[in-house]
Amino acid sequence: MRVSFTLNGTVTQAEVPPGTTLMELLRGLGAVSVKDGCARGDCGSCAVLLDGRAVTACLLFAGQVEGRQVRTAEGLADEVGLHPLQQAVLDAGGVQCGFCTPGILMAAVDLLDRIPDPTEAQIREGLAGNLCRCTGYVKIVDGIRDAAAMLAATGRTTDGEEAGDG
Amino acid sequence: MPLTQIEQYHRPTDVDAAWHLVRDGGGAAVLLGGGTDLVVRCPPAVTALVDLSEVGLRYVEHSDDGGLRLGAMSTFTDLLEHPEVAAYGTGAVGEMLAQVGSVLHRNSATIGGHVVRSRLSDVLPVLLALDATVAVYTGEHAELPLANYLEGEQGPHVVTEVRLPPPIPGAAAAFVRFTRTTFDHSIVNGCCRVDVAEGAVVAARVVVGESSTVGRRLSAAEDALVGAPLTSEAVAAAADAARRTADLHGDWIASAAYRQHLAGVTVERCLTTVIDRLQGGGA
Repeated sequence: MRVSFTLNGTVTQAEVPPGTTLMELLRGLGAVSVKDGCARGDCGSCAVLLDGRAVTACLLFAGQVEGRQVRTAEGLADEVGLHPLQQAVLDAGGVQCGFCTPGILMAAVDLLDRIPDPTEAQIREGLAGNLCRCTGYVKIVDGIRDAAAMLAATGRTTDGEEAGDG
Repeated sequence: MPLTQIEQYHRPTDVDAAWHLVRDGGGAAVLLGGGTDLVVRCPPAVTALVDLSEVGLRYVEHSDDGGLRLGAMSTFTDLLEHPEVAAYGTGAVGEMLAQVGSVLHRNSATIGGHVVRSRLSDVLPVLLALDATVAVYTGEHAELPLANYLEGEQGPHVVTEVRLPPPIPGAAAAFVRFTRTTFDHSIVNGCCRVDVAEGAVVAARVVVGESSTVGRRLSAAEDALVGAPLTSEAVAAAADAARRTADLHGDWIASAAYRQHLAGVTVERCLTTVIDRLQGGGA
């Protein structure tokens, strides 16, 4: 079957078997930040944004993104450099083996879009579906809090746009 | 590893077309809502998916009678972020939705898919306590109580809506769950709703569930409440009845005896919150 959707801002078409999951579709298109961890929705390593909300790509069929917007960690950095969220988590020491990092970043984008100035409890609730076996989460939480402060200070959203009504 | 058993993927644009596809497909065609359960537990006989994304069932609307109609393709996040849905049942719906799975799951899982799959549910005890109904399409539209839907054998059908009845003046409800971690399955969960008129309980719903069941009403606990004021003594009697009659099972997470004990604690905590909410003005 043919699937047409927007991947990180680019109109994309793919031909896949009808039982393909979104995770498999995205990895097949080269978006290998989408990690194949548990493939049953427990670990969050495959989290991507679907129309702006973080979902586990392993629990969706590819056909479910027809006509919709998908954003992966590949869509965070631009030609200038890392996204502020990536830089903040890196600087805070929130990356060790790195396997969970892309999924955590996408869950954090969803969180900061909804709650630009989250409390620690809100950050931990926002990451409840993402497992990390290295860090103990403390540095990840620190990094997301730093990113929130950085985005607020520069008046940017997680899309890199000027924050505001427009 | 794609699900190689899947040979066809349908994307109907109206409910009637979706229903024809599942009816004509026999057991080989299955409706696809959010996908969160189906992807990992697809029945072996299924070879065709009927994706409901384009059918137009993602909405929340008011009923003519003052209740709420939740389109079956509404995600848990859609419902949690809808102020009237979250506030329904003196906030019991919102406090439950905020504890279902993780935000990743709530962004995908749909209310209709959840009712159809009927597994591992914190949602169903609350809907049962609030007397929710289910709208189904089988060539024609019909509505039946959620309890009847869950108990009966359903032929090919499309769940189109979950409906919440008009709020009852003088009623309050609360939800409680016990888990090992925030997004694990519940060891025990429960929801109580109490309707009070002229100082006495006129109706009560006491529903207790666990990880492997969808929850069921405990009539002995409800009977302990009806006809008298909702006092701490009545709460204790209802909790004791729940502890004796909940009939919960044991597994590697918790023993049956522990779950029976928690059933009483669940009911006691729900009803204590209900008292607070009734004193705060009710529904």
